[in-house]
Amino acid sequence: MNLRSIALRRVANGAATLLMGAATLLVLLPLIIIFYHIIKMGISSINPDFFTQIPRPTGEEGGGMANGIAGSAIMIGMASLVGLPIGVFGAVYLTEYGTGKLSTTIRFCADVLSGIPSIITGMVAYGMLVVPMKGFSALAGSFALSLIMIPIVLRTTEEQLKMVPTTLREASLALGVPLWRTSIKVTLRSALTGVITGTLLAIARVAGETAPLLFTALGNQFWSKKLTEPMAALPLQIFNFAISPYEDWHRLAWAGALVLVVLMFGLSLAARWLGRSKHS
Amino acid sequence: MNSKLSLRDLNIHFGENHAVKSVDMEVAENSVTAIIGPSGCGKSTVLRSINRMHDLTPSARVTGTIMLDDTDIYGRNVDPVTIRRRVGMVFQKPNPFPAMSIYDNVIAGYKLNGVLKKGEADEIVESSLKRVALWDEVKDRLRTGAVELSGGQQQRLCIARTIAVKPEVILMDEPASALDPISTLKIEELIEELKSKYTIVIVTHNMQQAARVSDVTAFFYLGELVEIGETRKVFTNPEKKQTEDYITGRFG
Repeated sequence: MNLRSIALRRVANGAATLLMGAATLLVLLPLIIIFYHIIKMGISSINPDFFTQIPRPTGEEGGGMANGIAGSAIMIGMASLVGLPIGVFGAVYLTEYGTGKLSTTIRFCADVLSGIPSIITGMVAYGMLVVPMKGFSALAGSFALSLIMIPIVLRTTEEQLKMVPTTLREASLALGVPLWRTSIKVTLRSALTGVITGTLLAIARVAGETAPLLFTALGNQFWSKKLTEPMAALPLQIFNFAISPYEDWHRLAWAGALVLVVLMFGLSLAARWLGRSKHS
Repeated sequence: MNSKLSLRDLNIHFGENHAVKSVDMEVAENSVTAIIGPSGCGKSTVLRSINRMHDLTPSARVTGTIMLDDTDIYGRNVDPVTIRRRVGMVFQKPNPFPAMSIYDNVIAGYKLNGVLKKGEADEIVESSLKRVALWDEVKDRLRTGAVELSGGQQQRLCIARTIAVKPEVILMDEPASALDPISTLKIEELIEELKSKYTIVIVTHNMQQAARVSDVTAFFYLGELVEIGETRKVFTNPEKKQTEDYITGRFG
């Protein structure tokens, strides 16, 4: 090989490296812009009041989104209470018991379900709960969120369970442990950190969902007393405040956005940290 | 000697593949039976049929009978779980439960079934580990993770775990093939020691090992049982030409 072609190759190599480096930066850029913008606009309204007060009437300065934060926590909690067990045990069934057509069908349905736009999930919850119950409610909101959660949890858990070596299941079975106990105490136990990681990501995902809550929980300017009443949620409040014509509500919306993003970022970090500590 | 296991016209299919063909075989109580043969001859498949490990493989189909004393292992009303409590298994690669300590691994059969009586555990752990000659090596670190042991120690731990639940038969699927020579020797000594209490069936691709540890040797080839007999006779004066070719290293 002569010197000329080596020099040419070096140039090509450098150009390709530069190009890929630039592409990576471009991927990061939107994230940086979003963070920068949200922090810049929202940080000034983050104060104790934001976490303890409910929104004030228009024209009055101050107020916070305490009811939205609490509402989000309540609805995500209820959605998790229903969605996590169904997703996790459904995945156990698919990997440990499921064979043949039924499980293929379930898997396919889960994939379709996770691909359905969340506004449609909200409309379904509206038709199924809001209309018969004659009113918007936190229950309907939780139901819509759990519908979004189930397929995510199901599929991530299934992936984690598949990674558990067969030899462990066999070790347990050979000791005379029934399959159902083996599935829970050995297989699921071995995959636990991965499963928790998956559920945290699912929670982070639904924490930011707005569309399914529009027709279900509706939102509330005040504290909700019952689960059958409309309930405030952080993303809903951000939406309503951002489209309002008032300057101070806009600032609150930015602060809400900042809190939401920090929350989701924290959940993702926690999930990553858990996932990593498993391998070290 | 009494016959502990009796395989009659055993056939095993995986889908279209006829892996084990019409095997008839007796295993005497408190003896060591070695199953030898080249890779893919069906020896592990036969072994795993004895504690119904194929139940997990949807494509597997087992026909014929395997009698464990008076119980038909594949009988209509027989629960595989009760069979597996009587027929334990040690696998090729040591597979202690990685999330459990050494102590918990030994009593895993009780813990996972939720039947451990308080105050019994210490006694079971100590006696089981002593039986596999592991007690002195680990008694000061019973609460550490089982994965920190060496491969040979892990395998002896797996044997301890198996005998802790007091089976009648122990199946061993190439238990020493992943181990170094010294660990292998320890496992072989252990097999010799265990046969006074248990009936042992061991699959091995190491013919010297079969000759050293077993009372009876069965030679499998292409899914068929070619020859079974007293180990000394099979190795010195085999009846079939195929057996002789295999043990003298002409193929396999």
